[in-house]
Amino acid sequence: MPSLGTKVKGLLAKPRLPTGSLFNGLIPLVHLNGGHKPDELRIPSCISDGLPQELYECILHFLQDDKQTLQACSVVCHAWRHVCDKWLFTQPLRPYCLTSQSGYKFNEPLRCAAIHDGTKTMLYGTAKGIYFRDMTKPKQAPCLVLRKGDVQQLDIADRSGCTIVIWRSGQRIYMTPIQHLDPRIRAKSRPDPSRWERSCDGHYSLGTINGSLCIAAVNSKQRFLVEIKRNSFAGNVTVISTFGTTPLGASIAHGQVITALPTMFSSTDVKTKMITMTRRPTNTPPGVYSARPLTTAAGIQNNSPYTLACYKEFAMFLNEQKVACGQPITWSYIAQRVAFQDNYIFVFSTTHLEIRHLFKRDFKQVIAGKFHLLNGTQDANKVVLMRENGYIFGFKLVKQELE
Amino acid sequence: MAAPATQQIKIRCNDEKEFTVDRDVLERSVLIKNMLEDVTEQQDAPIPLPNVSGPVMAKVLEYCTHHRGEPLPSADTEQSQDETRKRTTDISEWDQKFITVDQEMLFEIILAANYLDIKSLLDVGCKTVANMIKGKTPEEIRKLFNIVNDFTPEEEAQIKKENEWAEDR
Repeated sequence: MPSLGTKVKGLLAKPRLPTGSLFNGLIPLVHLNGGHKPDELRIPSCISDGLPQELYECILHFLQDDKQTLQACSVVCHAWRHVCDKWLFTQPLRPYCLTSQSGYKFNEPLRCAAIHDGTKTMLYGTAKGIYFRDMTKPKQAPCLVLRKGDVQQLDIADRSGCTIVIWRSGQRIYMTPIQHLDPRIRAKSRPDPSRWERSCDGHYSLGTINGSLCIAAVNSKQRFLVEIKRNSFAGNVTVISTFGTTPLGASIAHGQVITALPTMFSSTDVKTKMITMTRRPTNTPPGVYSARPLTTAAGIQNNSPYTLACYKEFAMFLNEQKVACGQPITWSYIAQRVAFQDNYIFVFSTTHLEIRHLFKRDFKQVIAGKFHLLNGTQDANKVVLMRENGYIFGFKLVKQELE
Repeated sequence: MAAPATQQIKIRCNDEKEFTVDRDVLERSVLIKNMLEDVTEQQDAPIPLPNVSGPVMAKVLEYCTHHRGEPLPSADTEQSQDETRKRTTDISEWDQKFITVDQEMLFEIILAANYLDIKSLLDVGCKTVANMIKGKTPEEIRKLFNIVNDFTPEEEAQIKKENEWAEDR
């Protein structure tokens, strides 16, 4: 049996911490640099003559409910930022700033924006026209590349290896290949954008039907579907149906065009032209359904068989037969617009941004502030762009970052 | 009837300072408790604690003596209490008086509690530091802990903007 002194000396024989550390040769309760091999252990350079990083983590644990202090701690140094993020952004979505104070800040109101090539390129729509910005050069001012008044909606879509820019100015929708707007590409002349011959009211919706990129839009009496075969609108407009009342908006989901009407939703199968009308369900609280529909109707992603119909005060799922199923999701605030990202829906009110998980009913994230939705993308970039006091933010999933 | 005599254990600090302490007091330290359980023979040689100085050990022993007899947290209770433990920075009156020391000593106590595996003392130390941080600006915190700001001004500005989006809970 070894003596106690021998045993202790044996335990202390293998140094576990770097030379010079107060811990040299000791066995800590909090394992420093958890998971690293003992000989790789180090104390972060940002802390000198103080406590090791892992002990600061223990300390910050006690501040997890004090958001204000955590915010101060998060700008102390990189190492603290990482720790504080866990409690500042406990929900899976967190923003990242696409423009910062060092970058260019618009003095005129932004109406819309879209990003391309990861986040390397951004187009802005303003009352003057379209601006192009190389995001890899943050100090460089955006370049006005198209003077086409009052751009209210703007999208960038990839189609068969070609990237096209689609925008709405007034009641007209335009498109052009992105290279025609890229100031970095030298060209003797730039062709005029293609213009959709019909006028439209309100927002259009982009979507894919049978592998083709399509736009759905409405005017006061009809709704349209336009399929983009080349990089123009030439000869591809389909009128889906007309209504007795004014449609509020149209969107594309699951090969169908869904139209929001004042008291119901209609969905049209583009292939069969079959139209399904959905009235509000009667077995739900009457107050909830007194809201007027939003000027949008949207489908959800991930091949779900359900369609989500969005109203100002709530949303409800429609099944394949377009019958409302399950309980409606009631928003905390009156929605002005909605956008989607994976299974999350972004609900914009005049005072708050509410982020809801579509399937985990109790899950929500509410952020106070005046927000303006610039673009709700549903592509691989996984960002939603919006403006707050001239700054543009994108969202990313922290969960993905951690994985 | 007289109480059974408590076993006395000797420890030696890095400044050669030696303490002879009742075993149940020393066993507040999980590290020393495990060592003592592994060794059955009576030992006269002191346990060397080369990284704890005499004055710090005296403070640690003061804490252990005051809290002797209190149940040590088991692995199960530790886990269940973890959430509640983390959410309060309240410190009992005695502990508060005990931990009212200069910053150097406070850090030494935290380091010693971490090494000796005395969870309750580590919590008291960490809570005290957390209370020191409360309400301070980033610059004040850096000064307090001698931390170098490794952010560029642009990074710092960006983080401040992003923090505005931290959700209300």
